[in-house]
Amino acid sequence: MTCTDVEQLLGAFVDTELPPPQLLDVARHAATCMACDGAIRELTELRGAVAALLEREVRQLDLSRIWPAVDAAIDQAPPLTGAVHSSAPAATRMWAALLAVAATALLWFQGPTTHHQPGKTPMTIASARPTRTSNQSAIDRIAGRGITMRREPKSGTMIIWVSSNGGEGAR
Amino acid sequence: MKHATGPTLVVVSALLLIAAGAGAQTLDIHVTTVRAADTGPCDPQLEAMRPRLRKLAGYRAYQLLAEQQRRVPWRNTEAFDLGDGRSLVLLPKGMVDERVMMQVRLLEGRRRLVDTNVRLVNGGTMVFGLGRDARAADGALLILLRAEDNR
Repeated sequence: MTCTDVEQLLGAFVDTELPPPQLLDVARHAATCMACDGAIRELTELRGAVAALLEREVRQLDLSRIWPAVDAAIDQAPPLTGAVHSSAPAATRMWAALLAVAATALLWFQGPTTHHQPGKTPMTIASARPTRTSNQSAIDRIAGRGITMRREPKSGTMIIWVSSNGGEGAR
Repeated sequence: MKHATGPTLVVVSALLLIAAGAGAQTLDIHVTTVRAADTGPCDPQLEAMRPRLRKLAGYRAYQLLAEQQRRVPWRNTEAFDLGDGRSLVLLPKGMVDERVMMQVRLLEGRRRLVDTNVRLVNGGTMVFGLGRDARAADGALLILLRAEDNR
């Protein structure tokens, strides 16, 4: 791996989006190359600084002016009879759009986080999975001799039945 | 000193990330072998499954022969010895729409009895039956295969 390769993979490396072997290659190169190591550090620091800046700016937003403006806009708006159209003042719409962009950026830069409240059991990935009600499996390809397939109607469980004198020789 | 520890930290972080990724990318495979017969006692452990097995295989009595559970890395071939020279060879390929895509080969010695590519519901079970016929009097061997992604 050369410095040019690392330069191209820098962003993906910092975001840990590279496949493990490539991640390791970049890390190995950076371990022996001060320039690339410096570049990785700079980019990491830059992203951290942008995230911190966005977080600060979002926290400084005065949200108290938003809802009165929205209420006022709703009061002034004529009743909708046909197609839906925007009647909020441009300033309100701009604030709402800015807030949405800032919140999205903040979430994006912070990445996935979990906040545990004392006394509450944190939800695990396993419990968030949809409940399985069916055991329906599918066959994409099957080879062999004397094979029959059947499925239990209620659960969808499949059985592949091989008659004892079936089978084919190994190739 | 500052520069000497920096690259080391990067390498260690990368290795930790790789190790975490590799640890998460496995599949729990359960292979249960059951002897099915028309007469005889039913194993208490299989009593709850008996109605379903009966609908699937057509036999009345079921005896648990062996249970094997392994954590198998994706895209790695894993062979389960079923006894009597038979084996179940699995190659988990990946997850698509909460289904485990897997190549399954049932071998008797070197003979391939079944060679199939299946899409098994994550955490679901499928069954292989080995005998003369589902309702033959001389019994059969059932192989229950369950796969669950533990990412």
